[in-house]
Amino acid sequence: MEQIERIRESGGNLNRYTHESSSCNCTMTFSVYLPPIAMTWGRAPVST
Amino acid sequence: MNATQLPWSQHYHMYDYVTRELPALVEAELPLIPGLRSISGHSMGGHGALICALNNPGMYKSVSAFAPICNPVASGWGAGCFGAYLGADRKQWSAWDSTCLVAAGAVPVPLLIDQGTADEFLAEQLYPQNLEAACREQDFPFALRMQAGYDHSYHFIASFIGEHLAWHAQALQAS
Repeated sequence: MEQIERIRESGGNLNRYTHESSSCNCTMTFSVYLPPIAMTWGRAPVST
Repeated sequence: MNATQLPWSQHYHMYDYVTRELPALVEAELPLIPGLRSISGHSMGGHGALICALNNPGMYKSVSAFAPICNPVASGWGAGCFGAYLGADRKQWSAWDSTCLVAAGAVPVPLLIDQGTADEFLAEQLYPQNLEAACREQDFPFALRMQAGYDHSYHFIASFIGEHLAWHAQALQAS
């Protein structure tokens, strides 16, 4: 998976990625918001 | 859903993508807590969030939706899309309909829905009252909040997303 963008947001980062999806048989793009706790404590829950 | 009919079946397997491939990928690559998940969505995505949670007991600690399509087999949007993605056999449709899944005894998961009363699609497409009736019948925990004057737009979502995030955080922290 390849990171294509990082946007500062609410104290954390909204990261955008692309990857080749086996389920969808094509390139997919998605975003993950990593809150400050993910950077300081190391792990955060996922809200899809 | 996962489309079974051409041409959509070549690519449209969003159910497998959202429930399996994407979480496995991000949990392997990013600083996330494996298995600690909740899910939310808007409109068609709200329908998707409900389907993912109802079809996968234990996978999500909570599910919420903004103006979801709650009973697609009963709506014009649902019939058009389901016919294209799944074919004409309506027996295949109910596995992708949250009202049908709850009525068939889906395992309870904390569920929150916000719905605007001025939503232009409420009367013909969304049917939250059908899901509410199925939940009451099955004793399924369910919070439907009718929000006075709100429409179907992202302004509606922006007004309540903070409350949804706090609600999900509570469920995730309790786990």
